[in-house]
Amino acid sequence: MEPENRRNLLKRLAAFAGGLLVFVPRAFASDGSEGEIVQARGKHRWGMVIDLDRCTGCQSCVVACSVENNQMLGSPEEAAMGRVIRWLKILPRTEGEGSHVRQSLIPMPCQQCEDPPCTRVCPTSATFMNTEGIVGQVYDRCIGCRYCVNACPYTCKFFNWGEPQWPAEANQSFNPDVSVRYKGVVEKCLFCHQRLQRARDKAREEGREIQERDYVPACKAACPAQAIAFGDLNNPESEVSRLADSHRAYRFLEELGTKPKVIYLREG
Amino acid sequence: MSMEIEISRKNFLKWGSFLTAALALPKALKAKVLTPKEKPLPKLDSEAYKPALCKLCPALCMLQVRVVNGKAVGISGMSGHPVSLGTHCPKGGAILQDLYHPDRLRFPLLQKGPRGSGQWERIPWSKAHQILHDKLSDLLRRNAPEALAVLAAPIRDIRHDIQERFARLFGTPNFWEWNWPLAEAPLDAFKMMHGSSEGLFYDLQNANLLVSFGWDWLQSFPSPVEAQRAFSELRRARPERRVRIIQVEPRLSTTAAKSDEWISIRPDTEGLLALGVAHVLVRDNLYDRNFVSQWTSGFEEFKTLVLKEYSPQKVAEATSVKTQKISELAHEMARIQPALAITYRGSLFNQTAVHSLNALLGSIGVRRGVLATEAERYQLTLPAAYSSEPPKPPLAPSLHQVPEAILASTKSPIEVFWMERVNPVFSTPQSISWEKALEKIPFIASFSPYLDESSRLADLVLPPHHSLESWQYGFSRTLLGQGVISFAPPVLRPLYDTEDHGDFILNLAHSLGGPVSKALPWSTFVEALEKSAKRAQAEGQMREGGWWEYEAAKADIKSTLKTKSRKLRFSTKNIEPKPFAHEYPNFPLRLYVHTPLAFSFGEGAHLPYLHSLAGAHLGEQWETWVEIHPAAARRLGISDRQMVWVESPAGKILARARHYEGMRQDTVSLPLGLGHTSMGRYAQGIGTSPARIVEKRQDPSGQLLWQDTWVRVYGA
Repeated sequence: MEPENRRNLLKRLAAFAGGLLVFVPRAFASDGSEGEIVQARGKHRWGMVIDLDRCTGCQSCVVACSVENNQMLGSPEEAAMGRVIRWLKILPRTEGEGSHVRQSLIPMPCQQCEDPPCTRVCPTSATFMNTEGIVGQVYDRCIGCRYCVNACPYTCKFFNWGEPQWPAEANQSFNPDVSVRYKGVVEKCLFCHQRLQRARDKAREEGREIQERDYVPACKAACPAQAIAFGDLNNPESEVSRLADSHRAYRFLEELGTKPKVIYLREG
Repeated sequence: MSMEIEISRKNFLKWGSFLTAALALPKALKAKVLTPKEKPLPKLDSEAYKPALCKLCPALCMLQVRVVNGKAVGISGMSGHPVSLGTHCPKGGAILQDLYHPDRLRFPLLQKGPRGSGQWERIPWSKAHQILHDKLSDLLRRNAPEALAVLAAPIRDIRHDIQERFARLFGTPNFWEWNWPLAEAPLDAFKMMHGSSEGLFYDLQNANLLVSFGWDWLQSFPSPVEAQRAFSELRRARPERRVRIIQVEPRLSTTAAKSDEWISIRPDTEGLLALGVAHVLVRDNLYDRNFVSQWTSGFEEFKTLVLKEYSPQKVAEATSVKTQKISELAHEMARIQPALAITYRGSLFNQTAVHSLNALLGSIGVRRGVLATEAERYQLTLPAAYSSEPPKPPLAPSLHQVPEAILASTKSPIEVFWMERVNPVFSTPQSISWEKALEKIPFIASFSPYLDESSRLADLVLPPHHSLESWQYGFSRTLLGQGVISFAPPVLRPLYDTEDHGDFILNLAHSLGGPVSKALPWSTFVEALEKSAKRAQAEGQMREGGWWEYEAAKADIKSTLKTKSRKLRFSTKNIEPKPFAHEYPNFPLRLYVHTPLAFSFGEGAHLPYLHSLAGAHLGEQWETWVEIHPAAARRLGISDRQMVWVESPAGKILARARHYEGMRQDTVSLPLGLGHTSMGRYAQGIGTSPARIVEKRQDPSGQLLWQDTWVRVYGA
């Protein structure tokens, strides 16, 4: 071993610093925002467009989402406390009076923000954004602090106030690709991430790249009004990219700078 | 032990650089360490996607069931199937909750105590078979076959045919099909004006201007999936135009909310408005004179009546729709050709009045209007039946008069009552008459997967296989008039000791012998199905599941006309003026009932996922709510979310008051579908049923009128 001297120390320090620069990927560098983890950008950036002119508010998507993602059954008691969890729910808005009253029924999944307020406040990184822009939630890491529930301006994060009640018979229909949540953790729409994983696996098995049509979330698959488009926002040719450029397109609470990847097309 | 660190240049640099490195790391490390890794999904031993037919409503969509390790774990629509086009409705999505429902009956039950006591005994199928056999052979021995009555679900299936043939060959005229008029086209007006209602349909998806007179068609439609699709097509399928949709209804329903214009109207007066529009069309010479002179009869009488009795002023007074609006509507309907006027199977008055508009506008026998289809002839039928005696007249001309007919006689004329997947005790207004009638019938058997309100009053409850557990065949007519024959083999083995309903009837027929046995010679339902299918196509395809489709829609006027004169009959008999003044001074509000899509056809409250959807526009779920206009509520001193009684001359129910701007001030609205007193844990005791307070009124057409009840509302 070399004797400890100033020269060696400086040499080792320089080598270590150099190593840091080489091995820590650039993508891990911060964009300057405090406390945020920014990850490598993947090839795809998944987004959704919901055409409110086509949507009839039928809620086939709500049921399809519940079935796909093993969502709680609900009960009168939970409903009375506002604790029935539906990752995708209908946001009703009634405006005006008399014969001028208008109502819209807006399907609200997680808005999959590009700059998600929920991930910024999570002390355990239980909620995070993956490389393809999907805001994830890891139940094992969640400590139930509900910071993210409060931070989400779209009220699309849900806390499990109790243990889920499942009769033994109903357990049989659990989707094996989706974990069942338990008391004390937060859950949310993940764009049916499990379907992306299965699609990737399948593409890999077939020795090809994943394509847009391989990955379809349950809500889009169910929609009888074909009001939901889903795909890669990085691909300018995709249906979602095209629709996102429509003059009818808008995002909810754009002024907050959350940059949702769920885009709405207004009626008319 | 203590350690002293000398503050030297060397140590300063050493510790200083260590600290710097430690501080520099977190951002990178945090990202690397804390960002969760994607875990691979579990390996599945076996995974398959199997076709299935959804039998939760008469639309018969084909679904695709994801089966993993022998369990059904996922649902999607079957891609390309002409009804579902790869999608499904909320109810179809919840079919796995129906399959794996914890309160599904697992074996046949025999009532041990007095009927309705709930003391059940498990019996083997052989015993159930024997009991029914004995009852029926006793009727045959006494030459009283008409004492058997069968009430069946309106699902078009070979099992249904087997059941109907059984009843006919047994010798009873008392075979009825259940129906849900709120989700049906105006079949009575079609029949009366065209000579037959068979094959007539609205070309809804292609309409140019769609005016719905009271039909909440996005929520209540024979085929819910197709209704949603049609709406979407009307909105965006034609790049050159976004079709205008107008909804005439007392309440801002989902359909009204999604329409371009909502015309608020007093309940049950939609027909009057249609006649007001007809008045303007005739008065201002806006109607299709060529069509009317060439293809209709009775126009002069119609014209005289409409001009005399239904002036916009009179109509405005009765309906609360302004005269100017009536005139505008008439002009718009005349301008945009062909305009389509639709309504549901309400009163014969309303049905006739609304369909008369289509006749006036020449919107019949043309694309985008009312069309005819021969789809029905592609339906599979059982191979030829043996001839039977001409049937005696049934006990009652309409299903809804059956309970009264039974109650009117000292001894029930029906001795054996057999119900198949129907629940009249829950699904009719004033169901107390059904309860009393059932009480009087000596023996009742119910084929039902649940102990519903009607099955509770039975002697024998026979749970059939679930549609995912048995061979399925179904016939659908699409919104475009195509005929579709769909097949699906069982998705999985029966979970419980249930039996195929078709097999049960065939066995019963064989053990009884005689004409029923000769007319139903097949040993199993599948054999009967194969024999029926053979006539159409090879059975190989049937074995794998799939569908055959037939184009059968015709856009010509002649094919819509089945009257002797080959002309469309304008009727004045059904649209004579009648008094609209209300009869109950103590009941100042009209009751308007609506069916949320989740509980379409009045069914579905036993499935928990559907509860979450029912009142989404108000955030209401898992309870019954009554919609009341905020101003009306203030006058009555009723606050939002307060529990109230809704009382009619027929009775009262509890509901949560919800202030709703989309309600008329003179009307309140309750959802149908909740308020079961039986039917499993998710339905029983949840909410209350408006059917309890709707007065039982029957139309000359034989249909029940749901929208003709007056109520008062007060705090509970």
